[in-house]
Amino acid sequence: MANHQVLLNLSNNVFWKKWEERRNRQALIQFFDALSLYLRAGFALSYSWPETLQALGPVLPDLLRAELGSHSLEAETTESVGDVLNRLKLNCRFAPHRLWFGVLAELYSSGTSLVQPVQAIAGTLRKEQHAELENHLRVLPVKVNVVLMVFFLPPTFLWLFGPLLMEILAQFE
Amino acid sequence: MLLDDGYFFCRKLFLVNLLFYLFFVLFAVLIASFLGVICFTRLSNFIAWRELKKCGRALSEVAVFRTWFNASLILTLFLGGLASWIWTRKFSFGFVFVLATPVVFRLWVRYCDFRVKRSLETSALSFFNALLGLIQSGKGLSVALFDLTRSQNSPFSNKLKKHLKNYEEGRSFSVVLAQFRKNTALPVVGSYLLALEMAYAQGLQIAPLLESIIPALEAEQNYQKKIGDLRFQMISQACLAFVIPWGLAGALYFFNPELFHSLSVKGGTICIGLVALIIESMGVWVLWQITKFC
Repeated sequence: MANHQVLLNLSNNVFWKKWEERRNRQALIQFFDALSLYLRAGFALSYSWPETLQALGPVLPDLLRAELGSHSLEAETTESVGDVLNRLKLNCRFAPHRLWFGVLAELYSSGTSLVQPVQAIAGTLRKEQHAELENHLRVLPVKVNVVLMVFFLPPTFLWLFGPLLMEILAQFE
Repeated sequence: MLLDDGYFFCRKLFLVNLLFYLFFVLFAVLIASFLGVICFTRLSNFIAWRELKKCGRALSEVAVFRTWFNASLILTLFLGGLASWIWTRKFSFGFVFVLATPVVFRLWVRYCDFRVKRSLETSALSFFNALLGLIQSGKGLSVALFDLTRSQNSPFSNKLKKHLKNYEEGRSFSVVLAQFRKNTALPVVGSYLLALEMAYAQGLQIAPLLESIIPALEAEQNYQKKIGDLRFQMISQACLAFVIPWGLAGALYFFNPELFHSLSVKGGTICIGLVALIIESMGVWVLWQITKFC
């Protein structure tokens, strides 16, 4: 297996995926919260979306920022918010969130007010994040005990039985 | 005459050689020391100061940290040299200890930053509650913030008070709030501060926003506290588990020294000790990773 493939597999492992997912969800909550503020002030989504992205620039993870923004400088002038939403609905890198972008794209094309839906999305994502955190806290003691047994018992046994084992081995020499 | 000339010539040559050698050695030592100091400064900068720069704004006592770092460096140099002399009769080994100073300092800075941010975030909740009360009573955001920072004595309030002085010096309120948010770089409260800042800039009502912020912040702080408590329990368990094998090794050394020495002669203790240390280090790393939330 080539080196870059090994690295790719490592970067795609379960832990990293989980952390990335949670980090992105947290960032999306912030994004939708901020977006709802702009919308509540009466601005259109086409103005609010890039403004929110700019305001939250340093806070958002790089991948998510790239995903939510236009992919190139040329696209920035040609791609409308509707196009961005449609792109995210179909090929958002973070699959569980495609649904939300789909809902937003539908509502945006129909011209409905977006304040309530955006707040609802932020609220749902926050609930999801809290549920995940609760789950993490619930299973953590079991995980810790397993790790303690796997990594800290063998060294103890090594000191207990190592000298005896070496004595026995010395008898056969 | 010729002999005398030859003698003087040889002596002159010898003196020139000696001087050249001395200057060369002095020059080489000077260059080596200079390079050594530069390398060490770069290394310290890379290991320790980078961390301080990253969180220096939140800590705000950079000068104190630099003094502590220099003092600990001199102390380590002295103690390391002394320990090296006692054990190996050489001073040079003490420099190894000096290299450990930036690493320890980096961990210390990170811990201080964590403590400062935690105290700021914990006190932010009561501050927001009081702010909501004042705003609901009809005060504007700026007036309410000034009143609160004057009357409350909490880490969050004191930090904000320092930044609000810039407002008195003529900067706009949004800029002051943005500066405060950027300088403190609080992971949880930061996003809520940004929301407040944006709402203020857009001229929106602050009270409904605070009403939604406070329960969310409360819930997040509760979860953070739970994670912190669990991590603390985990660290105590891990410390105990880490010590047990070494306690056993100590017991073997004290109660059965013959067996211990017979093992040491064959290199058994080093072998077992190394394997135990590697497995335990891996365990510590895995524990740290699995307790992370994101």
